Amino acid sequence: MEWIVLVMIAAIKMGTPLLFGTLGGVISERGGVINLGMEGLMLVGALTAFVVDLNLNSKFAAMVFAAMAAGLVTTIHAIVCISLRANQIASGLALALFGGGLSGLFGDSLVGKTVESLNNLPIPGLSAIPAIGPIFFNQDIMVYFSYFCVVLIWFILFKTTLGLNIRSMGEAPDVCDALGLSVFRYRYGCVIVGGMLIGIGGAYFPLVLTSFWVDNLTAGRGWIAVALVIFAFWHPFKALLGAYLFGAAIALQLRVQTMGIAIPSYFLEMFPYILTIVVLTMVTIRNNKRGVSVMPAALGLAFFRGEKH
Amino acid sequence: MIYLTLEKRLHFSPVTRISVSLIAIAVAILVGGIFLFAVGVNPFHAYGLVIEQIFMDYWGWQDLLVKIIPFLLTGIAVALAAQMKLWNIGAEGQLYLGAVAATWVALNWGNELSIWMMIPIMILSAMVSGACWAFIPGFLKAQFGVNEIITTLLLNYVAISWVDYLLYGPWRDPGSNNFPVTREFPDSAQLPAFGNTSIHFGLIIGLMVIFLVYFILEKTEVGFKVKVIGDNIYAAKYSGFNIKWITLAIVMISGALAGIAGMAEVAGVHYRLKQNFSINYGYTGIIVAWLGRNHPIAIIFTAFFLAVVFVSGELMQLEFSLPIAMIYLFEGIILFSVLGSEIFTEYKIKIKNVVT
Amino acid sequence: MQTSHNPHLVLELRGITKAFPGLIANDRVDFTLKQGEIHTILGENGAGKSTLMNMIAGLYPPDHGDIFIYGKKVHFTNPRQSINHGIGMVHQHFMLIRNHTVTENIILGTPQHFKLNFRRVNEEIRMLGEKYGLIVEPHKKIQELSVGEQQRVEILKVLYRGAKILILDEPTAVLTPQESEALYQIIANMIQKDHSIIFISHKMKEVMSLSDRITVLNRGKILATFIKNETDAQKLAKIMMGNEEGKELSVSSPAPNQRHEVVLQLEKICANDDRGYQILNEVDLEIRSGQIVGLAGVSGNGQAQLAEVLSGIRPMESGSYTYWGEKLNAPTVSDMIARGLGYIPEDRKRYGIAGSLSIAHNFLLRDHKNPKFYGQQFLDINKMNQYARVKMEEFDIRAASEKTQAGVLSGGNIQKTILARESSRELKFLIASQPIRGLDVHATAFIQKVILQAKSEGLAVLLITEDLDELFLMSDHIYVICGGKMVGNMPKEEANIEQIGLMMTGVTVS
Repeated sequence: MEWIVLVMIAAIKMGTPLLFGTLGGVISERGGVINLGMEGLMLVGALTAFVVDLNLNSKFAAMVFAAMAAGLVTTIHAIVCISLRANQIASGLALALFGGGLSGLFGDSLVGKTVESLNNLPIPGLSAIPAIGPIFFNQDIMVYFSYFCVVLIWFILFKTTLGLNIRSMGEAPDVCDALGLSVFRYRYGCVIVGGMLIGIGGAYFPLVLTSFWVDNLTAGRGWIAVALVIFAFWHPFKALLGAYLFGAAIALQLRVQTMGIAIPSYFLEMFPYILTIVVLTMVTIRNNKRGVSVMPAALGLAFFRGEKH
Repeated sequence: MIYLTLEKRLHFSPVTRISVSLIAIAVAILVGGIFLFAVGVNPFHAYGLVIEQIFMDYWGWQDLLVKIIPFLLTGIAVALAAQMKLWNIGAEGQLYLGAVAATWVALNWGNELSIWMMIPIMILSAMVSGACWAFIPGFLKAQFGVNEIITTLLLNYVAISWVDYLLYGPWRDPGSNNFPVTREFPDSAQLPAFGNTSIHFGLIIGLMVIFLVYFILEKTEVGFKVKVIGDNIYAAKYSGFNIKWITLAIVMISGALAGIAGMAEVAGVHYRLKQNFSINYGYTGIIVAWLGRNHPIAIIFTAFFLAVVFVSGELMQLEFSLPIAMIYLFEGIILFSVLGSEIFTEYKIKIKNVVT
Repeated sequence: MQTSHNPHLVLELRGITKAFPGLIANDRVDFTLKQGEIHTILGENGAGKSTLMNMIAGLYPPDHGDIFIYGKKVHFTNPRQSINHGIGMVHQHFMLIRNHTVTENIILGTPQHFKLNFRRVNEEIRMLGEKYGLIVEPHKKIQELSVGEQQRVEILKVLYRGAKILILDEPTAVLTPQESEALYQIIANMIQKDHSIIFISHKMKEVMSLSDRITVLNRGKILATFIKNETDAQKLAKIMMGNEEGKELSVSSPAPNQRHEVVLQLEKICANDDRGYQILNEVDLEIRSGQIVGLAGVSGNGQAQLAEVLSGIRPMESGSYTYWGEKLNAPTVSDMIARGLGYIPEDRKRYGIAGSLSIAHNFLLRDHKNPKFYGQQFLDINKMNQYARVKMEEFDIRAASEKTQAGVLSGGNIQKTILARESSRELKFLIASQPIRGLDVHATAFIQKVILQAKSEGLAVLLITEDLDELFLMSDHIYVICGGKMVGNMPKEEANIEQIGLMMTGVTVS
């Protein structure tokens, strides 16, 4: 029993960067722009957070700067996809390469340095609940912030005018345009805000999970987040579910490794990726059967007014 | 009020397209220079070195012609799939798997068979291995419509873990001082080189594959079907093409071609399987294909360009001890720049003056 | 500031000119709309009606000329300004978001509280709907609504924004006769409540019954404006088509001595849609050689799937399919092509061509095994181009060359390409699905002539259409499909438009 709680605590920790990334992807894609470059953005966020924390010794500043740096880098993606109407998938790959390269280049001299890990902050009362308490309410502040983001994004997307407009951008930008909403403004907003969240997800690695910097710190988790957006059906609550499911898979894998079971660690490392493929396949099959697509209808399509006449 | 608008070009010519691409690459070189400057390298000095030590140098050209080989193969692999609007982001993994199969053949049969037998068997096994690895995303795509971008990509991580396992485990050369490498291939399993250069036979294989793919696309019924499916899947259905089968076959062939790239690297350059022997060669194939607009012949030129980028990157590594990440950064910049420029092949900027 | 002379005008256009690369869509157009009037703009496809309306709606500005609203000169740079001036456009292709509810569609882009109060807004919409006789369920998703209901949502959308000037762009093009009647009533309600309407149509009957004034547009220019009582349908039709002869078809009627063999016989055919739900329910059908069978029905009632079953694209679940006396089990597309089946698909751009390939390559679709395109073993590009040139000449397909991408052709030229390709094999049975939808008068006449000619030479044709004029013009025998069932089956002589219209909407007629 205690063993499960320990794994679950780790699952939340491992799942949190995925959650931020998935939420960022949800916002971007609800607005109609795919962000395939999450891996690169997470790395930019991670490196920025690490550098800022190293120099200013402030976790808060580290998070803010990570968000800003990732937001800035995503802006390139936004310009290329929205204003210049290029292929979003190719641009996302460019973003992944660019972000990975950027973090590798500027992080090269930082390998070997360490920062302190973010402390857990038990919430009085709630953290005393058996099992649930230690799992969900004896975590660090970034985890609590991710809970807040889930609820906030859900509320904005489905209960407000802003959310209606965002969702409409992903469904039918031409309709929005004819009604006088600025497609450019909303899509830029979604991509950049989404990118900032992804950057925060990246920041979680050096600030909580590792405390140090190595090249390619996120090790493919960004790509798992890309898949999780589909798994979550572009919905923040399901994003939470998916992120923790995969967090659990990663935590379990680490747990098995430390228990000294005679499976080579290389096979355990494959596990989250294989699981992602299996789950993605199941979700796709189920979706095919249902026949209704929940994918934003205009996802991946560039918009240009006056194409038709 | 004066503002800029885009106006659709009525005629677009290959000349426009190529000149726009060249400008985009020039912009990328400029931006790359800024980043070089940011890490304390004088970009003029750096680019000068590239010209001097690569373009004006016998060894430099040799390096380029060795480096182009994996890009020819991964580029055509990605481009073939892209002809059907399929993204094979898994060329990296397929390349590793191809190398694994070739290595297995080399290490197990190398002492018994002659080079005339070995090389074809190694190529074939690399192709089968790459194709089988690509079968997974290909089948999932054809049968269920599972997003191939994500599956091919994630399988790269699985493939690399698998290679790591082999190199740290059963395949490690006992005499390697614990380095994760296999034994050296016997002579019969090494791709011959031209004269006393390091340019190996993979160059011929790469070019042959490219011309073969070109011929199939332009001159055969299957090629026609691939083009139609890539352009309009509904028209393909209406014409009665077996889309599932063709999808699966093309993804597998794409994987097979990437597999050859892996074989060519281990049998032509390293003569053994080692960790990280591919420096994003598979991902680079995507850039090669995109820059060449998936046209087989254009890919020869774009593969050469990427070879220049890589050899330059390695030069920077030596001269200024910059990390390999510099190459990835540069690749990202090029891709962004080329993508951003594409709109200008279809549209021209018009300055409009509207009196309000 | 310039002002307009006449204070009774709610809208005035003066000298509006708009050019797109390679074409002048509107050329010095003058137009007025009076308070409480229905002013119809009449014109063929491509006459420039949509461009003109899009400028009023603020989608793009005119190159030259002025727009006045209530006598005040306006300059729209985006659609919102137009909306704020009380203009509401109901587009021909609905601008609705299928995944959203009626309410979400209606309030999108209107000023609302940050936190949406759906209950209050739903109530507002219900009340607005009752006022004009536009009844819809606010919480339903668009994809659950019929075409007529979707149009009501479109109209509600502009009324909710307080539109006083409504532009209805071919509103009845997609409606059944009964739905159209309901729309006329709604239009009357709106006029009564002080709205003014620009009505775009080329259905002469409704134009003559609804309009106060009629303006004829041709090739971007205004040809004339009439007060309704001072003109008649014939005169208008003549002007609209640029003084050319209308839909007169000079095709010899079928030789009566021809033997009408049964080409195709369906008994109790059932089939499923893409999601696995039954869409065809025990369909019977018989078509003879030298006969055009018209299949009438509202889109989405199974006729598309029926065509797919016949052509081998979609498997049938049960029933019997007899073709030239041979019972077919699970025919494939290539089987049917080999048996002389030609198919002009409904969505010609989506199904009929591969848009980024050349016209020459497009002649290989559904014909890619034909030795005429091959050298010894491989495709011969010269033969392909040569063949395409011959066909382009024969079918009057206008393009720069056979190497032109098929996707850039006009709808009429695409349709001619498809027809040329499908009829180039030895044809025994032709399925023509909405063959003239959206085509201009010349292309329409050409296509209809080719089909009628082929029929007179003994071809069996299944004509699937929503356009009842076309149905009666072309068919020898009429079937009606509704909800995946054949609900009507009669020779043309025994059919009448009202009865067919009712059958299409599922009302049983005794």
